[in-house]
Amino acid sequence: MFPVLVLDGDSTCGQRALYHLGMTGIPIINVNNNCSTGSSALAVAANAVAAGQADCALALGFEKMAAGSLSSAWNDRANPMEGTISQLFEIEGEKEYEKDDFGPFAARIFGAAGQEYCEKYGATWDHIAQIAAKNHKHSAVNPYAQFRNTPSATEVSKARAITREITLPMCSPTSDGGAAAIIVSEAFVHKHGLESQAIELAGLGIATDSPKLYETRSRIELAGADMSRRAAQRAYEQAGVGPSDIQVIELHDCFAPNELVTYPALGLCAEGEAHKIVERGDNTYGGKWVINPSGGLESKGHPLGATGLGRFFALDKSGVSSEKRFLTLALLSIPTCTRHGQVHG
Amino acid sequence: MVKYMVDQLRGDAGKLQVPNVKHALTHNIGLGGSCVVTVLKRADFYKAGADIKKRYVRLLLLCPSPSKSNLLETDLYLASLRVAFNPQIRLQPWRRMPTTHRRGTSQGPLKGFQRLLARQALSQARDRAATPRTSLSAERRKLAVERSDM
Repeated sequence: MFPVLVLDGDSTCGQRALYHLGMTGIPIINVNNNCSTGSSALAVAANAVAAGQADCALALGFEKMAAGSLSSAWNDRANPMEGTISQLFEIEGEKEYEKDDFGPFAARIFGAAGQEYCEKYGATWDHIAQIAAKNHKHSAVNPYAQFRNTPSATEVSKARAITREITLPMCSPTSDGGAAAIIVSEAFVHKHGLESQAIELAGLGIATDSPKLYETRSRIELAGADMSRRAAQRAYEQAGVGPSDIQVIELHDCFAPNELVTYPALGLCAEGEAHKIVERGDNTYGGKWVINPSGGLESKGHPLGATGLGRFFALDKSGVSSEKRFLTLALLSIPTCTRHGQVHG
Repeated sequence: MVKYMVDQLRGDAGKLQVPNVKHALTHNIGLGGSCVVTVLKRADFYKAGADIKKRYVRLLLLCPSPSKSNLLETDLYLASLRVAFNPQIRLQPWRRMPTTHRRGTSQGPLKGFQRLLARQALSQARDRAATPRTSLSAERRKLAVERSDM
């Protein structure tokens, strides 16, 4: 067993979370990758299994968020986001909007991406409100969602403004939670008789920003569209499938505009046609794909470290102690592999 | 994300279930930046329609299912039981951190203060299992709305 640990927290807090289950000497690696922390841990764990380092690995994510919007933990050193933020201010400064943008920086980055999409391709903020309303509608039957109310698109548009364009129901909330996935080799599945549960991790793509981030001076790229493109392409290649083979998608809708700009990045439609998916209803039950059946991050909550892995229980922030928290686990297997790390698909 | 998609592929997603799922995708992005996309599918050797109860007995903790929320409460209860009576799991580990980990050796029945804590954990688990989930989440939602100023 080779667990991989995750969190957005202090160094070695993964060890702190697991030591009382047994001082096993099993390696624990802490990962800190912003909102994709959980999935990054999954990637590390999957690679360890694929390389034959372990038959079974645990990817565990947990998060305790501070109240209010995201902010940096430090104010005496360089901010990892400073390049993005300064270019965003620069681009926004050149535009002549009637009203200056305001609000928390994360919301502004994704809001700006949505705004650029609307300006470039003729989508409107109504489309984005419809996406938010769709996600909230899905959450009505998800017993684990943090919010299960179902505002209509009009109600979403008229809700309290968080930035110039984004309203409250388009944002993911402050959440605490934990989730975990167990990644095992195919041999492990057969040895332990887990054939009725094993889901194959057919493709996994992990990427960071490309030069497009700063060179294109595009607010859509500033929100990481090219990372999504590259990661998706790798995952599709590895799995040997394309977007039309997929039926259901959990997409990172930390703010509703990000869902719109991610549709083309995942190859669901051509660049500039994302709002047509919304118009056709191809993102909900009865359409081509069901996107965010859980209600998305806007409804189910967004504890950064756990988001990528799981379904988590939205927890009371008024001091529920960590012992009472409960993890949900998913069991994944990866195809048989050789010691050389070659994966046979 | 992964857990929801795994449920969809297993056909365990209850009211959230999408018909005829063959492949599922997750997309998770972190500004700064890192992006992970996974494509999931049923393994070729997947055995559909396994007895759900058997699965729960085998892997009590591993796979709670949203369509079986009553079973989930049972899980919580049983998990608490396991924790309470497993001598290898210390209920107050940060007061007395074990210096060695002795694998597979029993440390005997719980004594004194630990026993008291185990009883408390049990009664709390029973209370929790008896409380209807809906009222809890309504309260939680209200609190969350009040607190949320993002």
